Amino acid sequence: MSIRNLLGAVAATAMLATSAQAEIANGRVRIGVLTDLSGGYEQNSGNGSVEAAKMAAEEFGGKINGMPIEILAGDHQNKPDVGVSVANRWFDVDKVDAVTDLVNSAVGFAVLDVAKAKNKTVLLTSAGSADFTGKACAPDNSVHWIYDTYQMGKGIGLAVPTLGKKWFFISADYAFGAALEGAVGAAVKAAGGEVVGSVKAPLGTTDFSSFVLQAQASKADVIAMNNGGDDAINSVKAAKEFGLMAGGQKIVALGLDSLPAIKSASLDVAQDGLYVTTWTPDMSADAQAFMKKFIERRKTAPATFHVGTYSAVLNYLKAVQATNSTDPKVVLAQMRKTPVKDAFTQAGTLREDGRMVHDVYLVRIKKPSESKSEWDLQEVIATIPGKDAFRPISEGGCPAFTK
Amino acid sequence: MQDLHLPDRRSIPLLLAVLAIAIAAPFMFYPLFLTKVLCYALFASAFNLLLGSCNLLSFGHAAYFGASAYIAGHTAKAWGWPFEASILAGVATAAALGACFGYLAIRRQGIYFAMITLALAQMVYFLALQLPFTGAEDGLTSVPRGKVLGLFELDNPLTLYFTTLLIFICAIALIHRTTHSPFGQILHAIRDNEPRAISLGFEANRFKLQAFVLSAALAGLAGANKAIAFKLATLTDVHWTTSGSVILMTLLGGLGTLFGPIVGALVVVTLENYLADSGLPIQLVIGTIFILCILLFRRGIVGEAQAFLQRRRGKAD
Repeated sequence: MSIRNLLGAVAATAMLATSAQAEIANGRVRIGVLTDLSGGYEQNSGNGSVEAAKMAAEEFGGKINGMPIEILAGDHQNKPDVGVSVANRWFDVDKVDAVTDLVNSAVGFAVLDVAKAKNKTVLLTSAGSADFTGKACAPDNSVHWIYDTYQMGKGIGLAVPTLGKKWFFISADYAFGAALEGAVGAAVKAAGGEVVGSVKAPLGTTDFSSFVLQAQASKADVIAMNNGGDDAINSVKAAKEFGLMAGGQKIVALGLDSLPAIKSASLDVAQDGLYVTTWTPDMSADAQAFMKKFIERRKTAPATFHVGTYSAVLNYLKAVQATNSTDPKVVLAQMRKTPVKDAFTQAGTLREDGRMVHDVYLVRIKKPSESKSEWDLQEVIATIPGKDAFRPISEGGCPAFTK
Repeated sequence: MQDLHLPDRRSIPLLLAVLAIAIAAPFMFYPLFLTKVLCYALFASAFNLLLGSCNLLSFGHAAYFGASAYIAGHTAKAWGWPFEASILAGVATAAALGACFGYLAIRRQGIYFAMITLALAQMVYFLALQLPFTGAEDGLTSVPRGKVLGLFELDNPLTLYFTTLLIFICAIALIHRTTHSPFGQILHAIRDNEPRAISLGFEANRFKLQAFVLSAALAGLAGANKAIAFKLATLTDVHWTTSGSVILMTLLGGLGTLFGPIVGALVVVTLENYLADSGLPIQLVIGTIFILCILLFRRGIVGEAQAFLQRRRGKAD
């Protein structure tokens, strides 16, 4: 093939990729799960998310209107430039229609940018920044399905009056920790509470003793750990070792937010911790059925992100089926019209800025004596309606809705 | 010792062949991926300039790469600077940082030098985490690519690739010229026997600092180019693992050779990208390759190839 032919082919494919697609392009539906398959986020998303996406595809028998559904998996290694390279290659060469998961907000923002330029769909599930429906929002290209930092802070905030008056924060020293601290702090003050102190712990701290001792000395009623992942497990372990819970102080561990994470921290350590979650297996028969199926396949309970990824992919595929199209604008419009009722939530709606609004729950981690089975780890103590938990469009600052 | 690879008559066909491959490559492989290879190859070559010519192991080269990426990204995005100006701003930042850090670090040698560069680079990392314009862990995204010379749209992947290729060739030519100039000879002399070079009347530290600044500036050029090409600058760029991965690229390809870092970057970036959707544990694969490289072919891929050719030539003579 001559270079001129090649150039022509490149130009033709570039035009194809940018023109609006009125039907399912390329005779198949391809969804790429771009996630962390080898690093610190693997447990909560990673291979579990890939499996969850496959489970959603299987509910259609692997075919939509006679066209095969294919699930691809990619490891962004928590490097945004790797994420961008893979996403570009998926969109241009492999003709992927939608990318999902995107744990790690930096990768999420970068890939969303690519998807906007190439007019593809992004189903943000494991990424948490509230800016995805704020200043970076892309209502025609993306949905933000599971949670965001605003909702996490707001959820705890709504539970403030029942928890205690005096609060102490141990926050991870980066934007995520600061965002949570800001949101929870505002809620505490609004409820007439008081923040008696706060410390910032560097990301990746292993020895939390000095921070925990300060929290203990503050005589606060509630100690909020505004951190995630291993930091959450380590800080709660330190609090347990220094007897904070035994001394009557309550621990709110915002990062211990999935069944596998609680199990790896152990009930003995995490017991009586409180957190806000977007999913719990007890809330519906669908949820329990999904959990059972997931355990059969993965030998572990699903994390919240896994269920959410399943739900996002499922609803995306339903919309593709209904509209017989993979054009982002057409599919997302259909998704907004259809209420979400599945294993993730029984009453969810997709808002026009891309936020999926659903109920969230305040849960308490059970004592070892209360747990009846391997995955019986938590109980719901309050349900927070979606409209109260998520940020209203008017406050988000999404450029598409501010005139 | 003879480790200079002057462009003699024998190597001209080789250079032309490499150039032909570089020009034909984007029509066979994905251009954006190749652009990334070029950026990291330049980064590794800049690092190699310091380690290969001066035997200075900097463990903080990500600082110059990343700082430049942030500055280039910010000037292009927030202030609307054109492509060339953003790149130059990034390079200038990296050079200035290199001058400050180099001034402090070259006073020590070996492991202490490496630790000082690492410590200073970590400071840059924490600055990037806290400064308002960097977007902390969300990164600086949606950087506009703009146009080259105000004419050619860089959003076209081929334009982007060839612009990067041109920058890359100029930078490599500069590196080659530097290592083979009298200045480069003095660096080699200092590397091989510093007290002797000093006794001959050369101010060793001044030469080392110059090499350090040049290396930092070229690392900055790579970082700025990457920020524009990928439209983003993030904490990964300034993280110490990036400093580690550039060392890996250089050692894997062949320390002190012109093509070594380029080959090393090609191998590592290819693995990172094409293994991403293979289901293999990438870090494990790269780690295993690195261990094998250290155990079996210490001169790196290009270093071993050159040694092999020299042995054969020796036999033929």
